[in-house]
Amino acid sequence: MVTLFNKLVFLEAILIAVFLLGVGLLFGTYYENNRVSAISDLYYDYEISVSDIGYSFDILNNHNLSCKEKSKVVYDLNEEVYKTAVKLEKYDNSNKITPDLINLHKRYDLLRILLWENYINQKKNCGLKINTIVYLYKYRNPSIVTKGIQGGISNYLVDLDNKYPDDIVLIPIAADLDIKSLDLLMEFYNITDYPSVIINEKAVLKGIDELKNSEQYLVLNNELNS
Amino acid sequence: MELIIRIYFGLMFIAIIMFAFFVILFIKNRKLLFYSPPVKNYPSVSFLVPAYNEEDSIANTIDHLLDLDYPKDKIQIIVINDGSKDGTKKVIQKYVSKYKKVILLDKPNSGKADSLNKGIKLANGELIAVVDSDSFPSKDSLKKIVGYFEDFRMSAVTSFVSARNSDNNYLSKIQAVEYLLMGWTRKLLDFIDSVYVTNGPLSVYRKTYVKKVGGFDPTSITEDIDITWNLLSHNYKTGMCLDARVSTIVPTTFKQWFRQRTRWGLGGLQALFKYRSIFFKKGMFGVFVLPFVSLSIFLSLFGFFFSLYLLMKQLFSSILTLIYSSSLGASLFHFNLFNYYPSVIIFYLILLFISSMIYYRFILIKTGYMKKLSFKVFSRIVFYTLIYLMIYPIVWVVSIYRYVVKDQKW
Repeated sequence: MVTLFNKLVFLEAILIAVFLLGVGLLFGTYYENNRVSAISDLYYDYEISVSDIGYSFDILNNHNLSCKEKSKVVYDLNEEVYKTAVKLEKYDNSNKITPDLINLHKRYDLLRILLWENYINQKKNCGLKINTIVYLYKYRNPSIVTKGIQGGISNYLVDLDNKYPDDIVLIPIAADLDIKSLDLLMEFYNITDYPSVIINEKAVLKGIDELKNSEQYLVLNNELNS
Repeated sequence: MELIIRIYFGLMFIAIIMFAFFVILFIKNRKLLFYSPPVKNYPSVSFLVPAYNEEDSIANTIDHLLDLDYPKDKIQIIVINDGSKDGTKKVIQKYVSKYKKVILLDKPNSGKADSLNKGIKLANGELIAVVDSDSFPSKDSLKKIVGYFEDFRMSAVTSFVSARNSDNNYLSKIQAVEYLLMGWTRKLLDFIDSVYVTNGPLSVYRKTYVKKVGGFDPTSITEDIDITWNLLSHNYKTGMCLDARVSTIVPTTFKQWFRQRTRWGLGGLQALFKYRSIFFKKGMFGVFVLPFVSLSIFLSLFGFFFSLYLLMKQLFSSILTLIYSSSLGASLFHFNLFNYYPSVIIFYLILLFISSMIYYRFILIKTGYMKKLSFKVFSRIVFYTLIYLMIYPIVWVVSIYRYVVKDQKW
């Protein structure tokens, strides 16, 4: 007969496992919260940058500065926003224990929409000459093929951004996070599938083949200055 | 929480339970690990050595049995030539002519289980000891084992197997580590009456109980698993003596190893199917052994296919990214798009891995495999844990296939 001393092993093992798993979950939550707070800090930087751009545009418009001067300010701000966005991306895509990360992602996607809107307004009102490339991608559970396509498009757009750093503002936005303002914009551009790329609010490119010709939709620096 | 995270945590929970279970069993019984019950009267023992084409090793096996430290008048050695096509019979005959206690049972080939059953009929010992013809019991192994039979409910006691040809190549070195860990685990299971394999290299059985349960099953491809489960299902006890050592020749080629392991796997599946009606009944066998073995197989397969799925998913999407990037004429990789923030699961896996390494190191020192951990041995343990155990489920997949198509080849 197995002694009670040894029979208790089953119970003890379960209790230890529950304890260790509990500690792990607590640690995991703490770890993610730290990550969330790190993202929050970045988010605030991002928010400040976007607000800064918005106010800068207002100030520039109200003080009748030339578009060349306006452009210079926008390029500087754009660079700052881009760096923050890259940092934010690095925290993304990892495992999620708490829903906070998804909510944060939603928030900074909203800011990106605001940024895009600011650029659109400035292009219209001030004649700002910059190329906006909005990249709408699938964030939630993309299929293997979609992930592969999105990886390829990301590499391509980053290359493009590196090639024309002064002419392009790249705005990646998760398209499937149920953001109503984004849904409205997508309806306006007649976008039902993603990944899709909108260049200068005119060309909507879907799929790899259409993206190959993307450069023809760009208005480059030498043309901007002419 | 995402489904994948839930699955990870579920698997992790079970892994921690199993690990904690064995560690606690060890801590509680650490003083009894190498204990052998004292013997009042030495019982008579009949050795059964089935041999098929073993002319190279059979003499050495018989020599080891003749050399055992045990009252000579209490030993009988029955060597069963199972229709060998080589010179096995001639080698045995030499011993038969020289030693009265060595008996040759010559018969047409009919398999190991049938050979053992025929051997039992000739056995005059109170206990029967089954020894594979390529295995070599240590001098005091039998003496250490027989004390367990002072307990009248004890039906079978198995030994601690080591790899004799462990220095042959890397595969045999890894198996040497594996055998030690298996033996250790088996001993820990002894403390909860759950030794579920009495191995072929050396196991001793109480003859009357073996006869009572109908002997060895000729339809089973692993008669050692079957007889153990049969005895357990009749509420008999089985045990393990960590101090009774036996060395055996382990496979040295991947093909031999794979064949052997799929045979073990097939035998395990046969036994599971045969004794399925006892699940959650009849003491530790039904309540613990059967669910434990089934769960181990399931988790091994599930973990393998789950990891394979995630790996393939990642691999395919990376390949597709490369294809699409090159079709767009873009860079193939951007470091700043690479996500390098580890998840909690990774910390868990690292913790479990380090704990396993410490535990394995302890076992290898305790069992005398090494005095201190060298880099070479450490690399073997790491290989065993990260590669060997990870690909082992493939053996289960083939075993299941063999079970389904009824491939009974040895």
